[in-house]
Amino acid sequence: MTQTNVWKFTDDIDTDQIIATQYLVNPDIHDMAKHTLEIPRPEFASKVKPGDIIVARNNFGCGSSREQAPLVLKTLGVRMILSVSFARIFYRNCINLGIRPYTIIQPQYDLIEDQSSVTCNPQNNSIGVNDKTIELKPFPPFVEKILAAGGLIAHVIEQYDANQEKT
Amino acid sequence: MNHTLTEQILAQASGQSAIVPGDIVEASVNTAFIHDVFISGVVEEFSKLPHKKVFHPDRIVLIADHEVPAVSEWAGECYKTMLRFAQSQKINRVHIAEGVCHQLIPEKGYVGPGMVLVGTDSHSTTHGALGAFATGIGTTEMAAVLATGKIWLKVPETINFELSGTLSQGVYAKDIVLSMLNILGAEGATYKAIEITGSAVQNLSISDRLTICNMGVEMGAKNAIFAPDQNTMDYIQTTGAEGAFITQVESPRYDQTIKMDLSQIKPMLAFPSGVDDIHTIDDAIGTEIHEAFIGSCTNGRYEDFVIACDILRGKKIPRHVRLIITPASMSIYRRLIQDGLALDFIDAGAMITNPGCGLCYGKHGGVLSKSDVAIASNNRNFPGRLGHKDSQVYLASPATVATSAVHGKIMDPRISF
Repeated sequence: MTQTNVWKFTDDIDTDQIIATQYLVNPDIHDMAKHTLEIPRPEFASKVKPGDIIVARNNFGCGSSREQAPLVLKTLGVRMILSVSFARIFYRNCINLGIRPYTIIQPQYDLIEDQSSVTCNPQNNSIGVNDKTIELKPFPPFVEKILAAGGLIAHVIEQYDANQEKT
Repeated sequence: MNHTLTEQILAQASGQSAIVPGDIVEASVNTAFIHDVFISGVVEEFSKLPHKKVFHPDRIVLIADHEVPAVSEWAGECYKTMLRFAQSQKINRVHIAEGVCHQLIPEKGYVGPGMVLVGTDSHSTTHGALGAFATGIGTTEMAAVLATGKIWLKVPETINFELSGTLSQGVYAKDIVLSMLNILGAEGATYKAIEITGSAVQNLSISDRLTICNMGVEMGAKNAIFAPDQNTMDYIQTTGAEGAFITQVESPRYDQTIKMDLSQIKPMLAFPSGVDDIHTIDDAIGTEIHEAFIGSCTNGRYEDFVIACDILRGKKIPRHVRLIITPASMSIYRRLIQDGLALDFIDAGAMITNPGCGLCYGKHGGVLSKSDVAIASNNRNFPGRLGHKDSQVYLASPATVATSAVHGKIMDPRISF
């Protein structure tokens, strides 16, 4: 259990706002990540710390299917996004990259304040806010396996290795 | 079992007898395709995997369609990456500059009823027209599919559109799907399947169904699907596609059923700059245009050009209008030449471009300037989609585009009959 910082957003943060088109050609993901969420929160990339979480409202990650959007967040150390709803392709991309996209409800959104300190507990699918514990909806077992492995590529490698041992 | 078509296919592909929406299944993939824009990303991710060999070379299709002919120095590298990967993996289904992926795949017989198809393009929903489950995926996912032949999917709930009645003259499949967008909006089917049924479906050609399923993704849908029928069987007989025939069960479990009477539909448009900012033609008549585009995976098929040519033949478009004709594949292009349509288009003042995605994704072959207004038969009109971010794009049927081109302003296609 570690204390982490909250970065709170409202509705319709699209993939262009997460990482603008002009930076997609940058071959170095760490360089690209310096521009993460530059439009809505210019200080985000320089201030965010590994383990910090994003809290958003409706339709987080809408817009183009660019996988760089969740990738720059992962590069900066974001491992958990809590949102009232997610865009479909972004949601899948998060899971496949090992970021936990938790769907929350509006009262939970209201409870968490921007730049507040919370306690993350992904093993129990919960976070601690002040004295309260917010229970998050667990992922289906198959998705949990991908997340536990650290993403789809790592999961596929694990399965391959397991099959090799059997044969 | 009250499975919808999507549930039937996903149950079969994951070896289960009963599934419900919300279940996570691991489905076997029949066809996986990658286009030139994402080939490098997929190959890079695939190289991180220990498998080394793709799951089945004959189930993989590689298509260069977005960047043809090369728009930049980068494009040529993409083709080379594609060809190298094809050679090392013994993939034979490789098509460079032969047409748009969503036209070539049905044409070449790479999709048939009951199949699971995934592609690195959001308009992969198109292939539900032939009774397949088809959806777009990212590059990491595609790398895993190439290695394992499987994909994890959440079984979607299904929205049913039940179509009755007959379309009036001058009204087409594009007007049907724009009407669907008018009802559901751009997020109305997010995570969901769209299943199109009803007495009117038998009158919809495969070309019509491809148009409708193509824009399923504009409603946020995971997939869109028609039940295979005689039209489907006749079509796949010409393409040689395989497929397991699936039929609709009585009272499938739909999340929602929306009834549409096709006889009530008018020519429709999506106004700039929203795919769900839908209006009837009456709201736009007289709007001056600078460009008219007939093409794309939505409406670039032979049937579309026959409709457009009947309107344009013998006419001359005004000097201020650029009319761009982009056949969706080389075989369509050949027919346009062989049957004389190409000459009619040229005589009317059109430019005919090679098959490809160039203009529809704002890269090349007719990009719009700041003050341009265009009417186009493609599927998206987001700000900047066809060029400058301030340009304006109206989406419409090929008939509406052709009629508007003739008059230099947006006009009702029904005056052409």
